[in-house]
Amino acid sequence: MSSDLVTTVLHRASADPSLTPEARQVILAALEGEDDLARALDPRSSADPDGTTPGSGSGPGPARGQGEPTRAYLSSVTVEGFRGVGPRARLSLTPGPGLVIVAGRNGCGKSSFAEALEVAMTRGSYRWRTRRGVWTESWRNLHRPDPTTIVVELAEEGSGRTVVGARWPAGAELDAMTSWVQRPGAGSVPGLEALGWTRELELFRPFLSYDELGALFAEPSKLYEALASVLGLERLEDARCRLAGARRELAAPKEAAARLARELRSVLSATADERAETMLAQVSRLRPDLDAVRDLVTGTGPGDDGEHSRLRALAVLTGPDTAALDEARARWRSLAATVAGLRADLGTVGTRTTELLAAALHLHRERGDGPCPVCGRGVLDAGWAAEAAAELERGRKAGTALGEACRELRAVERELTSLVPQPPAVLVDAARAAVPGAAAAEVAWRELAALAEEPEALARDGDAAVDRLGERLASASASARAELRRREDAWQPVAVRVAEWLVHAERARRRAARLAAVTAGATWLRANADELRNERIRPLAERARRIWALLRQESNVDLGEVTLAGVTTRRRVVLTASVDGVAAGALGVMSQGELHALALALFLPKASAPASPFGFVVVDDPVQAMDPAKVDGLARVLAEVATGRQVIVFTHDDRLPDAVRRLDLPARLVEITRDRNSVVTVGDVSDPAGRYLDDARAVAGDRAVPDHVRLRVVPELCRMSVEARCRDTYFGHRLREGTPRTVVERAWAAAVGTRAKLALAVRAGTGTRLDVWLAADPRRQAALGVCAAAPHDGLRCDPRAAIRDVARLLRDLGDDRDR
Amino acid sequence: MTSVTTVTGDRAGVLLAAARTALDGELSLPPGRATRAAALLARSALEASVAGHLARRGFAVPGASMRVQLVCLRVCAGPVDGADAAWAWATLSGACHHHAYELTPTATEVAHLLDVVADLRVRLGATAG
Repeated sequence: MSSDLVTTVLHRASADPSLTPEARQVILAALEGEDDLARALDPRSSADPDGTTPGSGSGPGPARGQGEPTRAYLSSVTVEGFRGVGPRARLSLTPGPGLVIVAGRNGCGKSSFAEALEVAMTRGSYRWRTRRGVWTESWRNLHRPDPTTIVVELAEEGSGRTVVGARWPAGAELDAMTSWVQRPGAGSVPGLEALGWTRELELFRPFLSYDELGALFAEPSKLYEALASVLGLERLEDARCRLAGARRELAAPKEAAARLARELRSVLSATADERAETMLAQVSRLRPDLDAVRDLVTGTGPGDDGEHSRLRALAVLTGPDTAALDEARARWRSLAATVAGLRADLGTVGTRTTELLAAALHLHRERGDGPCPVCGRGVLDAGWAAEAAAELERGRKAGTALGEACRELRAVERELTSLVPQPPAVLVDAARAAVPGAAAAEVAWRELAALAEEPEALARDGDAAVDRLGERLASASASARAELRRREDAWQPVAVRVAEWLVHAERARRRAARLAAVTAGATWLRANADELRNERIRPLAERARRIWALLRQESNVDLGEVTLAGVTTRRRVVLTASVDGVAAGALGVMSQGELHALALALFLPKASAPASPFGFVVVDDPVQAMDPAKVDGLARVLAEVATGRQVIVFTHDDRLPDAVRRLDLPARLVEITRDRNSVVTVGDVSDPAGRYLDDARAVAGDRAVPDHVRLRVVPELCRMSVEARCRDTYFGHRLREGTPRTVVERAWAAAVGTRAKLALAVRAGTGTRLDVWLAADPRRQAALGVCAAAPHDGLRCDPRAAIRDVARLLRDLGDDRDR
Repeated sequence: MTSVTTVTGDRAGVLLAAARTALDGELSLPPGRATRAAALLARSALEASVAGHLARRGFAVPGASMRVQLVCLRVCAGPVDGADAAWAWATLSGACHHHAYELTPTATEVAHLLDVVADLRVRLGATAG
């Protein structure tokens, strides 16, 4: 039934378009178990986006596969020295569906069988748990305290005879019980684990006593749990818890990142660093640019044009090349001296003199030696001419040299100007940004630059300006470096914290998709919990209502919806009812007897849930507080459940057996009597076969019945009787051997006619072996003849003799029945 | 009553009507008697239905015990009708007699039984060949 839970959830989840395939898969994985959920959330595993594979199922129990499990039926309970039973007493049962009513007066030991069954299979009983004190003192039989043993024989579909036992050493306490299990073809194993029903016994517990019926409504959450576990709803709760756990785990980095971000926001806004501003912006964003943050933290990111880079540029800023400047200035000075010297030289000769001398030389060349036309006293001769030519040459050379020196000087001046550029933008910015020392350095730089416009002044008086600039620049850089260091010192711890945040933020980003799926899944499960629960309980509730309808008889209380409500500690089963059509809470309007009937109406569907491996249901004394009319209803309900289950009911009075007879229900009635010294005897009172034969006897013996009716009715009753017994015998054999019920039922349905049914019952197969069996006693053949006469012309012999033959046949079959 | 029955031939129907009249308190019976009287009349109606059905099917057993009649009914009318008739008869018998340990049947219980008997009357009449 629990695997149906997955189907129910899958149906609902698939029909919900708001659910992503990932979320759907997460829900199903969570229903399957911790491991499945872990696998579904493992980023390395390739996800199944359709979410249509519900998984391999987890562990044993109801999750195993679809359809109904193989079932176990009770074959017998043997009790010795336990409670009211002294010497060994055995209650034989026919395995397979059917109703057995075990009646006996209070104190006859009938409840001892019911409790022995429960104790042997669960190591405890309801009474044992709830009335420990009284119970622990009186659990051993007073007359035969030793040995104390319980042996339960089960017939398991598919495997056969399994025996469950309990024994107590002489004088041992109740708790010192030793359990053992013997499965087909194996030795006995201590403990009950070998049964593999630990969980199933808890879930479907096929034992219910009168006390327990009353207690079902005492605690609303108890009833809830009893129903919820059968419906596999605790699996829903488990899935919810698993998803919550997974969500917590997946959300941890996101929450850590958020917490760190909160702290960081105050730290960053108090940090004077433009990186802090960038960070603050990122940290406050819904989807921060984590790559940018990482670059900023590790310092590998692209620089910015802010304060920080300005400081860094200033820190390494150098002034004009002083070496080159000094050298150029020296060169200028030397060139200036050269030019001055040349000018002085040229100044002594003079341009006009040169022109005069050149004219005199020209004259000499034309006229030859003669007196000086200028002064008239001197003579212009060859000696003078040579001297004058030399003089003239020297003057010409000096002029050329001066021109060259002047050009060079101008080049040096240009060089000087270029060596002192205008102050760089970095410095100007820094000065504008009021970086300490920057303004003074800028002034010094501008002065030097202005000086460089007048190279002579620079060359001659530049030393002071150059030195001043050097000093001021050094000071500005130093203060920039100091500021940088201060900032770095302040930033470092912030950077560490940002890095920490980054780790969580990146982890959170990697998990974002999974977290979204898990969150959606958890939300969906929570939102759909009520509908899922009630979808699950609906079939059970419907069966309970049908049972109630049969049970209630003339009660004016009509059972309405049965729903599950509330969570955790406030979980409860909500039973609605209507009294003469007026809606009311069921528990308020029902009498004690009706509540018992209602409890039974809920218990029977639970204990006979399709997923239960128990083919039997044991009910101890359900009729105590019931009206006579309800007892009839109860008998009908039990007979209905008995069409699919082996129902064993213990009762202390005749009302239920009476109802069974009155309603002509196919039930076996067993009576338990207790003689002195706790000698308990189990005896068949009647079964359908016996009752049909009793009816036949009544018809045969009533003189008022005309012969033609008698001869028609008696063989029909004989046939019904024989076929009923054959069915019991056949089902008993085959189920004890471990044959699946469906196989047995199919074979039975295929057997048409009394002869075919008899063949199955005596395991004769076909034809000849049945003939052999029939031939072993001529009365068997005669009895079969009686049954065969029924559908035809009626009996042709004495009805009393026919009944005797049939009774004999029943005995022959009955001897076989419990073997 | 008997005279009416012989005239109409529907003994069961007449008895059932009388049972309803009794239950409705129109016969001025002492308190508590009405339900028992109704139960008694209903049981007679049922017996008439059973006997009528058996007679029509050639299974008439006049004078046989009711148990035998009901057994014969089960054989000729089938297990469902047979069982219902047997249950109704036994329950009505319980309601007619005063048992030391059982209280007077309630009016609702008997009313329900009357419905069952009425239903059976139709079913057993309808199956007549």
